[in-house]
Amino acid sequence: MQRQQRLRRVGTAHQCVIAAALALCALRSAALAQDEGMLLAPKAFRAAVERILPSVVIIETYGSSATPVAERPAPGPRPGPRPGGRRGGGISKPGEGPTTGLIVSADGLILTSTYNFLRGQPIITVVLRDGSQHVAKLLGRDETRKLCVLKVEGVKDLPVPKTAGPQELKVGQWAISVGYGYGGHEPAISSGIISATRRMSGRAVQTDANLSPANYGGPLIDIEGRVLGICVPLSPQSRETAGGTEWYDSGIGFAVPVHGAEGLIKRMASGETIRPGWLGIRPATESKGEGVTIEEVQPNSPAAGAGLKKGDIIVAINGQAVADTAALADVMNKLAAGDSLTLVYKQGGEEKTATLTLAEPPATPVPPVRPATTRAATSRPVASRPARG
Amino acid sequence: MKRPKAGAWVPAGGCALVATLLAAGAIADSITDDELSRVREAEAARIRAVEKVYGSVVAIYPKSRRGGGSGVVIDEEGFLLTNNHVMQPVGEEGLGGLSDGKLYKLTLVGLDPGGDIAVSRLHGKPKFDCSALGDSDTVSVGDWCLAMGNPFVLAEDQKPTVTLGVVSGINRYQGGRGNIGVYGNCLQFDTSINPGNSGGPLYNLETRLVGINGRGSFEERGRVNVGLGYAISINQIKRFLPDLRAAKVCMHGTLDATFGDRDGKVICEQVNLDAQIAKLGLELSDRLVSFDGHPIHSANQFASLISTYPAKWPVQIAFEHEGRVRSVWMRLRPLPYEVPQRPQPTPRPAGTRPATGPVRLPPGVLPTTSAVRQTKPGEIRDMKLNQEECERIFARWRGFSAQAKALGASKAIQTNEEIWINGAKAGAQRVLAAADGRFRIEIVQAYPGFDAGSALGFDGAAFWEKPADGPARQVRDAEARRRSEVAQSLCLAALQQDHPLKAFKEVVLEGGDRVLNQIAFRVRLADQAGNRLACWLSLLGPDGTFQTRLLKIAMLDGSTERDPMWTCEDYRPVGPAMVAHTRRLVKGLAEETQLEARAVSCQIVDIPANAFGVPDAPAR
Amino acid sequence: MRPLVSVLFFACAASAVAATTRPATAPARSPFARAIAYAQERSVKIHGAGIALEHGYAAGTIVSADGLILTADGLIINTSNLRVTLPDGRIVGAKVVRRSEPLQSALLKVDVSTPSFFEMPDKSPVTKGDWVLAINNSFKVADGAEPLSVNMGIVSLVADVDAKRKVQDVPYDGDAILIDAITSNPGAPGGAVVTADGTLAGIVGRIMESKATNTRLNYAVPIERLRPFVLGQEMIVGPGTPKGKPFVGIRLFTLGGRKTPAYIDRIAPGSPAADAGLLKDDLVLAINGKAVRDCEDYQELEAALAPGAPATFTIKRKSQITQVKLSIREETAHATPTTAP
Repeated sequence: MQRQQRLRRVGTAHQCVIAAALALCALRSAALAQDEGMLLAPKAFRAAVERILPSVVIIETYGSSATPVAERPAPGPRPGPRPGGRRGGGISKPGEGPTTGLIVSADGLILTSTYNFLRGQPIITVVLRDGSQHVAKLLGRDETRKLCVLKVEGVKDLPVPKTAGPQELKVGQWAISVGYGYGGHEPAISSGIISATRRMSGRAVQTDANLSPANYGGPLIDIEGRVLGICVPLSPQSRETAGGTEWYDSGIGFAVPVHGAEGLIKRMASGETIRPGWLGIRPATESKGEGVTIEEVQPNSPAAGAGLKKGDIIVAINGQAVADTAALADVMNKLAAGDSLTLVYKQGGEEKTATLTLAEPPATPVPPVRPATTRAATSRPVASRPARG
Repeated sequence: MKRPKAGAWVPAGGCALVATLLAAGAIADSITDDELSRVREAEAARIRAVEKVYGSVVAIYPKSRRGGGSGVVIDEEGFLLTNNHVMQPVGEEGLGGLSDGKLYKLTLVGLDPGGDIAVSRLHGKPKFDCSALGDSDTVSVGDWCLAMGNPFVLAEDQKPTVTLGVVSGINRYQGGRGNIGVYGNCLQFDTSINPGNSGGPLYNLETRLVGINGRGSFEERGRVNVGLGYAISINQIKRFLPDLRAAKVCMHGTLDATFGDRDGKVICEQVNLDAQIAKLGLELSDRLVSFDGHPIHSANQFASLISTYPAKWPVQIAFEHEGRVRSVWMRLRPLPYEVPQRPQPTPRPAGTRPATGPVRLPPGVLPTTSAVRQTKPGEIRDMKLNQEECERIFARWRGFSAQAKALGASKAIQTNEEIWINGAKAGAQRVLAAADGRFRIEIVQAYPGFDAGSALGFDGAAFWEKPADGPARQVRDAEARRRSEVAQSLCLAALQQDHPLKAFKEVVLEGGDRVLNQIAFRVRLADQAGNRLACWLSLLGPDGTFQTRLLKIAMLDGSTERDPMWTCEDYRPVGPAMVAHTRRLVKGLAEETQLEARAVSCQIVDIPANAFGVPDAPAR
Repeated sequence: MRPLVSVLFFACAASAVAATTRPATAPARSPFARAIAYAQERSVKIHGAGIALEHGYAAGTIVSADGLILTADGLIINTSNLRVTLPDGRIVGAKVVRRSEPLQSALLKVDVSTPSFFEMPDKSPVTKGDWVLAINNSFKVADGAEPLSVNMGIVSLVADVDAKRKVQDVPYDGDAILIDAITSNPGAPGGAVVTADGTLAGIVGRIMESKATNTRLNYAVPIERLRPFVLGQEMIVGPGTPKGKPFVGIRLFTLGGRKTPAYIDRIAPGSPAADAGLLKDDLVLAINGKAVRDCEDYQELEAALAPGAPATFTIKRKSQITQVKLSIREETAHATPTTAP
């Protein structure tokens, strides 16, 4: 009896020891599992890329216009520092290689980036995964997202890829870019994570995978091979088509989600060009947080037409309070040419309301290309410098 | 697939797994369901890790909202770490954005221009999400690391940018200018950081904070990341945290001697004859052997290491003089900040670093903007903030020790202690101590200076002592307060009160120090009569979280380094309270033990009648 | 029996505890740690000539026990004062053994024994997507005996690169391992690029820009291409037998300029183009799969054709794109030259 009891007690002790050992082993194997999961990721990258490839096309273009396409830098608030400082780096001109696009309809609608047509090429063709090459036409563009839509005729049953919706988008998840920009029949891939889910006034997701002309217009995919977005060179400082290219290799890249973009694609496919909306004011840079003081009203602008004057303080736009230039930029970046606007402002102490329609920005000459310059190779502080003027 | 040379490689554990996995991959590359689920799990774990610390990352802006940097909240009351160079344009007050999309008021607390760190505070929430501090000494090259912050002020909604990479190098050195902004023994990583990331956190995958990001190598492509970022190590920051929370402008330490490499040895090339280290015997051509326990093998390694220490930090230094190794303890001298009048001289040849020479400068002014109140380096910027921090430290100590709460007015802690001297048991005593400072010590077994049967105590108004054979006598206040046991009990009692600042004429958080090999807050107290005490309270607990334990108490009467001090060690629960079960009387920076009192039993008891009064005193 | 088992259980538990006991804040060691340590023992720092914009420092990779070191070619090695810092911190002089123009690489030798060296695989150990670690000394961050830096990324693509360096073309020829770790920094060329288990996959290449994207290339010269160069087994590609000029029979419409698409203006009767059925207004898109973006591309690609060998022309006619085979002949005195006035 006693011996049985003793054995039972020893048995319990055994169980405790085993449980403890297992728990510790579980901790250690959890750490190992994490390591394994990271080491195996390349296999998952390859599998995901295989899944999307049938929907990724090579865009080959021919000829280029004699002069660069006229840029339309949008006037308006520019918060934040310039990447690259005054003598910023960046790509001096587009390269000579092919570019990338994504099939978005079975009958041949291709989504890609306006960056890929900077040289103003008159002939556009698309090469499908089966190697066949087809003539394509550029239908419409969204300059606020640097996207455009091509149409390939005489094709059907093209594979349309799965897209990932906002609920499947999480900061820290894998993101892989796919692009044919280096040439050849196999795409280049780069892996990173999703750095932020909502940037550029809600127009793009941010990733630290390398985004560059090698993959602009191509898809950014998740580990399941679903499309998170189209890689484009966006930048808060510049609306020029090539603005944002200075961030290649920097670990800051943007992709415009395809999920939920059906309306946009339809508008572009119908031939529309979506341009950033132009209000026509230059705001004062310092603000006390009560509103945005107008420094200058541009002639023939919607603002001028609505009776706004220098010294007026904009307080709200479309029901949203505008405390400073950052808030103003945020609101304006969401609006396109043709959108209507209700503006609340203070003029001479009186509060007034104006309703107007945003126009397209006036064309301005192309700014000269600045060559990259060399600098001493020492490290610099990574605080952002305040914007100039 | 070629494997590395046999014999040079012993795959073990995870590595064997790697080899197997990769070998399998070379044969058939399609991923199995099991493998894919492991990849997904690792990804999910990383997503959860990000979510855990997301709320503690701050986007820091000056009030004008022009430009900005980043920071990370390290304690629930809103204290955050960032770079000194981020706070310079912000000044005394700015804004901090959190992932909830809101902007909070941000105020400056303390600055470390030398190490490019600042502590600030967010206001407006009862409790802030915060990040736990890690141990940067455990970081190795190749470790995954996450950086978070606000590059290019992209976060319109204040949600930080998160990037992933690996540690590229450790113990790196990035020089500053005029001893300002020196990144010594810093972490180098390829996780992408860009202008705006300054001051933000660097985490390992377990979401422990291992560094504060502050610099990047930028070159011909302008100010964008090209794969090299640098973070000040969290272990360096920990040494400065008490000074920073004391609202000081920190200074770094120097030996006031310079060293160079000669024939593989590190040799003293220059030493200021007034320097403490010279008085302790260091001469030209002596070989530096170790610094703070780290063996020194190159002059650059030493320069990098010492740049991470605060002024007045106690360190042990070993050097070889005429063939014999000497080991000394000293406090580092403050290294003055230089204000360069001209651009830096011509770049140095490869393989050398600027010497840490004793260059003097005009007193007072740091290159701060006028937005930050001018404070002399080494001094406290804001006494009000300093005192608020004292209140906080004492409150945390009260919470940890829980003695006042456990004892109330009717109970006391009774301890039976053995007295040990030079490793042998020398005596025994019984101590009864109440929360309000009343105490009684009865010597059970004699030890030097104390006869068996003698006693001493404090009844709340007067001190008394009773010899073994003879009546008790009252001791004058002034004399009593010079006795270290009395000092200790008074200090302990004072700290248990709800408003210790009211009990003392002067309470100042002097800054940081190292005691019992831990980083500590050093507090100076003076009572109404002008008697001064110092006490040291820990910054961190054994697991690296903020935890305040009383570590040491000293009288401040004459030379502080030579007076005996009582340590409080080996805290154990006694009922609901935490009580130190070992107290040592120590001397000097090396904390050499003079005597040790070990509790053999400790309990909470009801206070007997007249427990603390003078024994055999006639009833009043 | 039971007590013995108990002892074993306790022993297991104890070892499990011992194995996992570490400070609460210590994370597991990185799975890359061993590969990194292995690689750093076999990597050197190189100091040489720094002229104008060329930086005078680079990295190098030890590939034999008797001091052979691979690095990238460049002005840095144009000096009699070439110095190598070995992994243990010793600085020794180095000599250039040979250079390779198509690989843009150089082989150096130091006169000390280097028992820790990399084996050179004869087949590529990497495929697209694999983790790679690039050992480098970007911006000379590592001084003296300090370990070199490590940047991590994946293999983006193994492909032919058409490269230039700022203004002029770089004669790098053939495949390169494009990676997404940033290695296009001064001090990085010459460093080892290794897999997660430490196998040498390539050497960080000289800083170049891709003509295709106008961006800096992050890449490694594949080790299986460098192996014969190190072993002295390079194949000497001679100028080959001189061949005649190719005759195709196409004259392009060039009034719009050299950068306009390669529209056919005229086909010489009886020419290979005529035989193949090409017509005026056809647009030449590619020759043998190489894109013909404009008239300039056409001239370059046509001149490189070999008479006697067939060539595939990709042609666009209206909206149809087709591939047409031409039999290229040799130009003779009677043939119409292809270049437009």
